[in-house]
Amino acid sequence: MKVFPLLRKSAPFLLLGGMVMLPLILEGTMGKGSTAWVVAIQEMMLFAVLALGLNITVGLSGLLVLGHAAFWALGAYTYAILTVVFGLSFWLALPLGALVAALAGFLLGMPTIRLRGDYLAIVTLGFGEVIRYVLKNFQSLTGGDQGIPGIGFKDGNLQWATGWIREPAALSLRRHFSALDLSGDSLLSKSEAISGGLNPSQLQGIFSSLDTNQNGLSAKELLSGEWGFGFLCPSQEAAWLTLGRPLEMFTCKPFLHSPLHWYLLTLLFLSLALLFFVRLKKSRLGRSLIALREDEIAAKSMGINTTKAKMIAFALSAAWAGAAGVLFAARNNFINPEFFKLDNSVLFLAMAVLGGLGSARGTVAGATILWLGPFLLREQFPQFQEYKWLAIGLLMALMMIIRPQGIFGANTGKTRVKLLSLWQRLTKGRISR
Amino acid sequence: MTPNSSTPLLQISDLHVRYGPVHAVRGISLDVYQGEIVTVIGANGAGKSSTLLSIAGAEKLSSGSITFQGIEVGGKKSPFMVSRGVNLVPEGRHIFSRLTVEENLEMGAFSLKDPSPIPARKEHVFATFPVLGERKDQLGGTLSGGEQQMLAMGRALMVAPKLLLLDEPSLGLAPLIVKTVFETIIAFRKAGTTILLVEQNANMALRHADRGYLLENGMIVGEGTGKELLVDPAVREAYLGA
Amino acid sequence: MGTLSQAVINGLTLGMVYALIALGYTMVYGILGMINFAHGEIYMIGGYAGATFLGLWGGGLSVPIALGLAVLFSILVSSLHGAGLERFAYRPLRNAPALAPLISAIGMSIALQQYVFLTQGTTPKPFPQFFRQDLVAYEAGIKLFGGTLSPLQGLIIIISTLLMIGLSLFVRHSKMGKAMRATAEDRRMAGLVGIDINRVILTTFVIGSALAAVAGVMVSAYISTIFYRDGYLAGLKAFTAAVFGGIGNIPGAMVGGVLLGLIEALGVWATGASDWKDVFSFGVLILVLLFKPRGLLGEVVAEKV
Ligand SMILES: Nc1ncnc2c1ncn2[C@@H]1O[C@H](COP(=O)(O)OP(=O)(O)OP(=O)(O)O)[C@@H](O)[C@H]1O
Ligand SMILES: [Mg+2]
Repeated sequence: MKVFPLLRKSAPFLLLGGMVMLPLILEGTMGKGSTAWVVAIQEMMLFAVLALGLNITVGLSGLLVLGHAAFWALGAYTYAILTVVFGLSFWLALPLGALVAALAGFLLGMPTIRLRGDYLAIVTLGFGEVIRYVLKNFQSLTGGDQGIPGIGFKDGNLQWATGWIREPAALSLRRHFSALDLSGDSLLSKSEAISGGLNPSQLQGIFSSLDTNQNGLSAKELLSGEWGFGFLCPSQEAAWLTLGRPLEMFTCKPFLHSPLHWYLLTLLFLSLALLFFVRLKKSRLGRSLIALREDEIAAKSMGINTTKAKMIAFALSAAWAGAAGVLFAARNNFINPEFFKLDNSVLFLAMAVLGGLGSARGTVAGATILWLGPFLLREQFPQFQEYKWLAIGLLMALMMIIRPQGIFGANTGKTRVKLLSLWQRLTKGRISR
Repeated sequence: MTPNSSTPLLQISDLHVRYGPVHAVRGISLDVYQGEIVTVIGANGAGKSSTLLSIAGAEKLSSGSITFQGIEVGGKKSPFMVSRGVNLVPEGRHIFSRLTVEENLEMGAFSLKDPSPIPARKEHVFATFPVLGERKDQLGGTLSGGEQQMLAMGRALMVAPKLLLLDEPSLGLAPLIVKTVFETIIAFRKAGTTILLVEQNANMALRHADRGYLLENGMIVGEGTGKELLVDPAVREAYLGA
Repeated sequence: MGTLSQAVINGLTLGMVYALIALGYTMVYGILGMINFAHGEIYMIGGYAGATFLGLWGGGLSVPIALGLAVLFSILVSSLHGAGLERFAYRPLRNAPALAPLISAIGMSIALQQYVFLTQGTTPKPFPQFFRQDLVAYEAGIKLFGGTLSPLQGLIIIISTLLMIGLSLFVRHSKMGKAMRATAEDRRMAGLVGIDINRVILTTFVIGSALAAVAGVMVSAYISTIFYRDGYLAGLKAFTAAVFGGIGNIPGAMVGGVLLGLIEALGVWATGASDWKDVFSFGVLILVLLFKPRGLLGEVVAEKV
């Protein structure tokens, strides 16, 4: 009896722990093939953040937004341009990208949001299209259709952090040596170099050369040349050893572009988004959003400033999309306008709808089904890819008809009845009003 | 008034109407005979409109039975009920405000397969309510409240209904107009239309009705002839403010 | 291109097409209070149906007859799709919260697009050249103030005008037209006077789809191809036109469509930036919402959420 609430309370943490361990488990069970899964799950989590952000407007506030990908694009391009041109750090770009997207949301919402709810749908749809035109045609800044390559993950604190991680060098070094299957000689000499201690100016040199190598370092590169120092950073396979020292992981260059790095970073990001969403839903603002979704006139008469509440919701939603854009640009290393098509806006919407509008768990479930589902099916049935969008479209309509509250919405027991009556209607051709 | 046939024109038994958790009508039974004026009186929220709407097929009944001319019609949709000769003039009149007066009347005759009687009936309505004739090309929404009530009643008359359901026709009207409305109701009955009238103006309703039912919280709590109810002390206290 | 009068002619042609599509949006909006996001797809399907008909069966027929039959065929195909949408994707949601039919519409829009993609292929479908060669001949066109009105442009303008006049007369005077207006205003009361609401709404979808189908055939002849992605942008513009004129208002959609076509063409003419023409229409949408949210001819319509 007493265990149950405890379990409920700790469930999120257990789940989080499980998600942290998942890449290891995957690697243990399927070896090299696990990388594709780690990447797919990372993408799924990123999309879940986007769908969660969208759920603030669509689910909590009942405002349909069809251009969510445009805010995502704004975040991505903000980071890509600033980091390529000015070397802006990822951590600074994260709030900045969110801010830019929120600002755009604010400007777009201002003329629209006080009008009928469905105008917002069409305005955001148009906005998504316009953003894509601008990205395509503002060549000098955005690279047009070619997009922006070689974005990478720039971390302003890199130098500061490296001094810090010298300590566990020997341990990682030893593990890596066996894992990488290289000759003992070369390693030993590097380790000597390290244990001998590098002075700050040497560090400086190493990192400036690291920065020029956009794609990170291969194991071979790492071990050859002047800088065995790279070994201080655990590679993907050994990263779990240093989980207790997250800072090390997130500041190690070879690790920075590994799937595991992105997986963990995105997991952190999603956890924050979930926390935010759940807190928002329970907050005063969240409750007024739900109230105005249910009955705008009543909400107004209860003294809720509906326009203000909607604007905040819309801006928050855009902000999360913008932050997700920063993460995406850094992870993907390359962006172009094609990523931010209407298709993806619809995909995020489908994720939110499938799992349950207004439900955090539901959104993650929706993202899992719609991202990992096709990923799974891709291998088994290669033709499925062609039918994916057909299926998503039909699923959205069907979901609204038989289970509008989504998979995780409150079960009112109506789904079965609705399915039955739908079946009867289809077979008998009779329909009731 | 003695019923002129042994089976009622409209017979309702154990009617229930629910709106989600709200149980608005809880097992009403009532009869209306050919040629009668029957009134249902009750306070706000008693379930009067819900009863009429479910008879007219505009609101789903949860359970119970409605028979019209001996045929079960419970759960039928409004177009069917209209084609059978049951018409509702709803509370609040619901004039098509962006259609002209004349078009409103034509819409009243929508269910007629044969359009030939339409011109004559229009003339009849204009004769009954001369003001409508004067304004026939005006938009419905520009009429005054009293004129709208007349138009609503005229619209229902376009199909010469067998049973006319009237939901608070006197609502919000000045006493003089209320008088006209009740005179018209009497005239309709003379022309052969049976009337089920819902009213909060219990005094007027009971004075013009043959029989009446008292509705409270979705249940019938009393019935009698109009005259009986008018003098019933309980009724006088509850509905007539005396 | 080049001269102002040519820009006006081109803008007018395009505007007529926007107007025809916008009518479908506005009629459905008027009666159901929802944006039928899949309407652009209905237009696109009409274009495909016309081009397919001519490719398959147009061969032995004389050009005007073949074109006429192609239009009829595309009206049939689009109407069936439009009616199917209403029947299966929207009708079950008629009393659901406002968001549900919109999401269903988005889903159907994507599904229809993809289904055309799967059945018609990844490349744009060409409109059979044989049937349009006479129509697009600018030499045969009428010279107007230094611009040329090609026979096809003339045809588009005339057909669109006739259809709009026909629709206006239908809505104003026919029994069904009046029933549509009554239903748009007060659905329950329309039922109470004996109007079969389902039939009226279905008819609305069929009429809107038919107009979109004609637009689809005309545009695919005009620009010589049709593609599964074409419906979405055309739909967006047509919706802008409908909002511009006042959503739910039939003459408004006509005026809005024509004006939007002209604004686009004149904008491109004035700035020379043809890449940005879609941005102009979006700008129009935002400006209209900012300064005249009810549109040019919009009445003060009660919020129907
Ligand atoms: N569409 C609806 N949804 C939910 N509840 C409803 C609906 N219509 C009526 N009700 C409820 O059902 C009850 C009966 O309503 P009804 O309109 O039948 O009363 P009434 O006797 O006509 O009242 P009034 O004299 O005020 O018109 C009320 O409590 C009302 O709130
Ligand atoms: Mg009432």
